Amino acid sequence: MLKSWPYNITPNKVISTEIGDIFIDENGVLVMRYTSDLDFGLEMAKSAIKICEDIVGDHKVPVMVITGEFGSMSTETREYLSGKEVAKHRKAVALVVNNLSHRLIAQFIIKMRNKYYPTQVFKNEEEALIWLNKINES
Amino acid sequence: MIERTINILTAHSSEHKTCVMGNEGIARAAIEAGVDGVFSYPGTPSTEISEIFNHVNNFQSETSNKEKYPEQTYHPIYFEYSINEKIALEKAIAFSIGNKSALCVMKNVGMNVASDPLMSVTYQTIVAPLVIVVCDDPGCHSSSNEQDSRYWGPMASVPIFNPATPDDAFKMIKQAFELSDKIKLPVIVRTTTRVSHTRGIVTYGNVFYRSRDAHFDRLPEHINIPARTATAHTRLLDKLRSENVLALLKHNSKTILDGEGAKLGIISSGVATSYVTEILFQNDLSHKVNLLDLGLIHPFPEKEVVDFLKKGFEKILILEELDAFVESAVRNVAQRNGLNVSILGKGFSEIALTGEFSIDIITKVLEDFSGSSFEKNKNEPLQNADKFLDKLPPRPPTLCAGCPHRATFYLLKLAIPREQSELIMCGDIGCFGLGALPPLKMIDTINHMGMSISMAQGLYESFHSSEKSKKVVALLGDGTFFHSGLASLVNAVYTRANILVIIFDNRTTGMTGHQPHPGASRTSKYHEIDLPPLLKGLGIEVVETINPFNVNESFEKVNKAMEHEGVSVLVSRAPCIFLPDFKDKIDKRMKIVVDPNRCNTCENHEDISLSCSRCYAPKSNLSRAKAKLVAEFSIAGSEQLCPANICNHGFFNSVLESEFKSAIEIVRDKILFARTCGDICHRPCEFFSKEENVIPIKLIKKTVSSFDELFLDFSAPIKRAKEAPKKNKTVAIIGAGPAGLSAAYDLIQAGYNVSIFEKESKAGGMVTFAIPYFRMDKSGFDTEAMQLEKMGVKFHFNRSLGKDFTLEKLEKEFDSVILAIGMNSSKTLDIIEKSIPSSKKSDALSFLKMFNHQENNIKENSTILIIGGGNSAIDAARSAKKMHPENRVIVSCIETESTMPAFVEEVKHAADEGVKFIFDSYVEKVSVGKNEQINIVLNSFSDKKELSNFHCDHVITAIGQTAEEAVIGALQKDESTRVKSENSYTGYGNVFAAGDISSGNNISVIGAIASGKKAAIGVRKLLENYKFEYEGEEALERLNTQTLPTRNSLAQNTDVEIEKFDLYQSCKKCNHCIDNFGCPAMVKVNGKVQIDMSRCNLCGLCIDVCPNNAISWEAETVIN
Repeated sequence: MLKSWPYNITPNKVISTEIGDIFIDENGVLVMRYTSDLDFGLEMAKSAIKICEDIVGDHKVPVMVITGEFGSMSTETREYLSGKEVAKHRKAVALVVNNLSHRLIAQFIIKMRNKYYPTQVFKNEEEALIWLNKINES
Repeated sequence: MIERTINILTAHSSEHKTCVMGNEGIARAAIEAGVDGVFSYPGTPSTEISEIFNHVNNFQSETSNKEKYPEQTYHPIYFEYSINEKIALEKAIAFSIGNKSALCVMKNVGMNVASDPLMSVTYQTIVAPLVIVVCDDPGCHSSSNEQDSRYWGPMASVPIFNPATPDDAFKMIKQAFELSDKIKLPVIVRTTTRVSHTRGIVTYGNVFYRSRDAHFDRLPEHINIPARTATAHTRLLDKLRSENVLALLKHNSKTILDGEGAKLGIISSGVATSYVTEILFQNDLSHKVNLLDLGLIHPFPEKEVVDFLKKGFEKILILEELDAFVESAVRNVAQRNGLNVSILGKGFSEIALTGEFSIDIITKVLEDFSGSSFEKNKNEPLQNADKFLDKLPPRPPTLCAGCPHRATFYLLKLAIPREQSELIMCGDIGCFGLGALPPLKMIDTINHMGMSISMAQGLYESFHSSEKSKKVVALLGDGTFFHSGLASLVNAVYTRANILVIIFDNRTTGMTGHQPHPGASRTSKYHEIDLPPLLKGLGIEVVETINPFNVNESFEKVNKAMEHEGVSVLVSRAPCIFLPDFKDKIDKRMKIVVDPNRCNTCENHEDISLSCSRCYAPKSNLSRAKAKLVAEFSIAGSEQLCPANICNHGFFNSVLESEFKSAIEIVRDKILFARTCGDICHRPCEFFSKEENVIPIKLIKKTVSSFDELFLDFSAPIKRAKEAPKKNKTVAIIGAGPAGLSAAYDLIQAGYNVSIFEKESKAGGMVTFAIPYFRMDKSGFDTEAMQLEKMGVKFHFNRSLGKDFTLEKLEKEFDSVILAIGMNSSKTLDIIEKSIPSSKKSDALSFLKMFNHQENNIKENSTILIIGGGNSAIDAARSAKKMHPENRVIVSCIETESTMPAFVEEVKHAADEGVKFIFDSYVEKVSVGKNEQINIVLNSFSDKKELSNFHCDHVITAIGQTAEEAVIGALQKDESTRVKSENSYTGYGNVFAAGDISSGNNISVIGAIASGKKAAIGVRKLLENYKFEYEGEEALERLNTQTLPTRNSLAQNTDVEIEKFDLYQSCKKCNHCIDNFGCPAMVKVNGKVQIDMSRCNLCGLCIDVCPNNAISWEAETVIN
């Protein structure tokens, strides 16, 4: 648990959105858990990011994205989510993927798009949290 | 060696001239001076001195030699390779204080390490003589800098000799021992490479042995405390002004040339004296010049220099390698003595502050100085040498063939892919520093000896407070680790650094000539310290010993060490190739051979002019090599063949490297429809394999082609089509389905003029009209198909065969024709046709076309019967269900679940979506009630008993298609109404057939594509005598003949990690061993690697390295 709590929501309080659940854990890691079969469009992404910004304010936080069995993500959504605007509140992103297709997409995003913060792909949430907490402590 | 050792220990009562290397002369001089002990750390160019005393010590320690050689063993000389120069000098000082004379030997940079004891001992005292030999390396032949060690004289206030020749060095060592004994100060003899390593005449004399009894006097000078240091400094300077020193200054300031009335004066020191003397004598100029050689340069021989300067020269030239040490002192002396003479030194002519002198340089300098041109002894450059230089192969320094360091670097290359990370590799000095050079390139920093671990710690700390915090890797040799790495490692543990230290333990100090060190003592003289317990004793949690030649086992250990948070250490242990440990284990009966049929051979296509987009070949080859060694499942490329002959091997390996653009281009090398195949291919490549675990090519293709950023860039195939040499031949293709479009794709890239005639208003055929939209990205297909126009294909839409043109007409107007019109007439069932009104029945194709147009003629909540077991039936069933989720959809087919022709995945999808299947059934009775409800009775196909009786609202017949008889009238047909063809040729004029209309099982999209490609080959054979067969023939044949298994494990296996797989085959674009391994025994001749057995040391690692499996052992001789 952080010594002081600078965020605009209590730890682990879940906000349910179109894309899935969003909350910030007691260590200050912002968690985005996508719902399954999500066709992730740009407008959805924008509203989700707005919620994230409302939660963290001006702070940069580590983010854990847990992909569900979503069907697709448009190019515009990929570009937006890995763009400069979204980077404003992101210290690092751990992408937790559970299938090959998502993993390739994550690798593609890291290779082609992400320039603003460290991003890594993980197979499970535990490993992702270890990495994010380490970054948070630094 | 024994003979030389005996020789160097043998006394000569009269003068005995011999030609020896400077370092040998130095050793002999120390022996003649009666040295009792020698302490050293090896380093070029000083190493031979230590080596000689090591041999002397071993010789004298041999019990049998004491009797056999009493003279040579009478005076035992202690010798040790200390772990570093500081320890060596400290022990030498202590040895002297114990009343034993000592010699301490090191290279230039070693003096930096030893400077702490040197700077202190001068304020104190020694007892027995102590001489320090430090060898400089102008030009940095084998050193990290070319520092000038003469400064240690004034810095530490010790006398320093600077010999010019081996004989000088011999004499000065003896003088140094005498002087040290008299003034109780260490004395330095500083040499350079060309003195230490030059051979010259040295006069051996008697071996002086003064018996010294070891004892220790409790002198106040042995306690260095501040209260005594101020007076000690004064006493130290007094020692340098003593008569003993002054006498030697005079003795060693020699006027070598003393031409009367000469107007030119030269003052030289060190090897420069040798060069200038030789040139002046050879050019008969000795009378024009006076030459003063300074041998003892600190304290500076002021009186001798002033006397020289007063001779009235017009100008004085100062010659010395490296810094202006003598020059500054001469200018100082001239100024203080009011001598107005022109002094030329650094900056004049070619006298530089850096690098070595040579005869050529000094000749030029003397020409400029004297204003004369020297003809003799000039080295003329080879005539036209420049013409040959470009043709000579580059010979960069490289690790030896079989070197374990290369094996370690290669392992690291595979385990820690540098291209994909910002990992910093901090190297150190030693042989393994060659790992910084191509092709290995695995080192980012090399500083001074032992800094690697400190560098890694410092870099880690600099990143530690940032978001880019990361592990840093330190690499150093085993000798270096004990020299100065250990203390730094303790600091790393102490400060909780997050670093990986890799100790390259080749069981010796390799670079300097295989001296022992604490980790590899090799003799009972030294106690060996095993590294792992030492490291664990420091509290390091992850300490692993790896064999770098066993890449497979070591790979995991590297990963584990990288993942560990904190200090982790890997000891990469394998002997240097020069050690018996290596040599004795080689089976010299074997040799290593390369199979040229596997090396740099394309297994995908015989026609190597076909495009290949392995544009990231070196990186992809690294992943191929890694997969070969660490993958859990190895699958031959021939096991996962594609009927369209997409190079699945290249595609998969590009994806392994995250080179997605390369991957998609590899697909497009062969087909236009990357995304479409990702959507709807029934992936025979995965089903062909006999392996239990196969690579999910289709899923990967679907994912990769979903990246619009890559997908929408068709520039490569368009460029190929535009740049293809034109054949000036015309080809007409009838039908714009996947078969026709694929034939066009290949032919336009082969330089043909291609026209497509299509009866519909857009391209696609069944893909566009029959395959339901939910199974594929229709716009993606349209995007792919429309590229053909950009490539130059001419489309003629709304043009029907038989109505708007005839086959005979096209056959005459075009050089060749490909018929690819598909099977567009649905078969019917009499019982359905006769009993059910048209509003209540459809054929599958009409229904699917209507569905894709979003038209709906079936009301909600209907019960729909689909008759048939093929793909059209399943598509219709799924579409009917999607039309209204409340619809009840029943599929009746005569086949069982395992024999029905529909793709397994599609059947599963349908079942998952709620479609009910009644297998082994047929429609026995149909009746229509008053309310137009249809009553159906299904019987078992096998035993004819009634199976089911139900009402339905609509019946869709999906029992297959036939060709439209009217349009193919001229062609021969088979029993399935398809056009008979052999190798795509119909036997009629210049007409070929492709797709579903042609003989064979080309109904699937990949089958259609492949048949289109095959027809294109037929056209090329006809029109240009193309000599290659269709490259995908084997897979196409298997598609037509092999019953695909019903297993569908991969559909559920999407969480598979692709790194577990190795899809291997030979590759023409492979240059892996040259690009990544760099063994000097591997050479490429005419595109194929060969092993140069004269260089090969038979380590055998290249066999594992080769991703093409082209290298193997072969017995050279048979031993009976």
